[in-house]
Amino acid sequence: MELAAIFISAMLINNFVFYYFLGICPFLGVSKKIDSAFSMGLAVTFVMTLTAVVSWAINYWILIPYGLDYLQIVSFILVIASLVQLVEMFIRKISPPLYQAMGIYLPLITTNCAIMGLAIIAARKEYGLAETVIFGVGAGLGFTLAIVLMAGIREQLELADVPEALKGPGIALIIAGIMALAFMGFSGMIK
Amino acid sequence: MKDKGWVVSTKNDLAQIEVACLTDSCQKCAARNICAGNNQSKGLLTVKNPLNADSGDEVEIEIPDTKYNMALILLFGSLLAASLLGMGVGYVLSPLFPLSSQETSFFGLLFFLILAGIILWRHFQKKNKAHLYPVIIDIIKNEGSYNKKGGQ
Repeated sequence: MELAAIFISAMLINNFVFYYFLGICPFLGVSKKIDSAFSMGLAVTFVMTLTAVVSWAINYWILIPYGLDYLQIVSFILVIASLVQLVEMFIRKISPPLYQAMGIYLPLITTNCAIMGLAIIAARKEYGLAETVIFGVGAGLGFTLAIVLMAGIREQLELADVPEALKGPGIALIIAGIMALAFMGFSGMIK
Repeated sequence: MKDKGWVVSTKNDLAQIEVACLTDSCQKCAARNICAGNNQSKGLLTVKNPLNADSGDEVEIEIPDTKYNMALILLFGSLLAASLLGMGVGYVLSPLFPLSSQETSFFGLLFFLILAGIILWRHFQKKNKAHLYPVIIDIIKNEGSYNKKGGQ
């Protein structure tokens, strides 16, 4: 039951984009088409889950026992960069056309602060392994939901008469704000 | 997703094309300067060549979105599912090993992740990869043929 609460909380209530406002760069940059947004969301979900697991292992088996907590941020940065490189190499090896099509999204994940945020928040909350993994999956799916919803709205917005001054990031940020307010409606789900 | 490029070389039913910038996805991206898709660096793409375009032709290409999304779901979805399954199996089998449940869950997760990676690798090796390549859908300028005729 607690795992379900963590999952729903990470995906809807404490959504990384709409609650923490993390990962705004890819959220605004790759949310023009639903297909691209979905690809980005899937890749981020996978990297988030993997990062959560590896950073948990490093934190609880190396940093805390040896009193190296102050190296958390540095080690998490290294973990994220290495994992993204690993995923990039893996995709390039198994399917060059997929790698070719995904080219831009993978390097963008390295600089996605939502992933760093996930590792730090999971460490602060002192989750166990199962909780950390569920937190990572929930946060990743929450990011995917947010970016795909945004892409759907922005595709429709192409047909709307938006004032010249608000076109582009302006209207996108206004929509993000309204969506964040809408997501606040989920806050009563878990007590 | 559509784009334009120039054919550099052809081999069997595939062609190498040069794209100045992936216009649909990169043109307005704020991260263009840090990735390979910027204006200065021209990218080389391998594409399917059903129209038999020649070197030098300017062509329009399209990436098959549905197949591409299915491949992504298969790739990331199965890896994620394998991770969760591995964690569960590790937890269930923890009494059999002289390790804590968290340690067995972690190693179970890693084992299943690697196993899924190997299965996926074999799957993608067996399957014809060409269905995921972008396809040339139009020859905009037939420069390749023109050059050939000019050379004769």
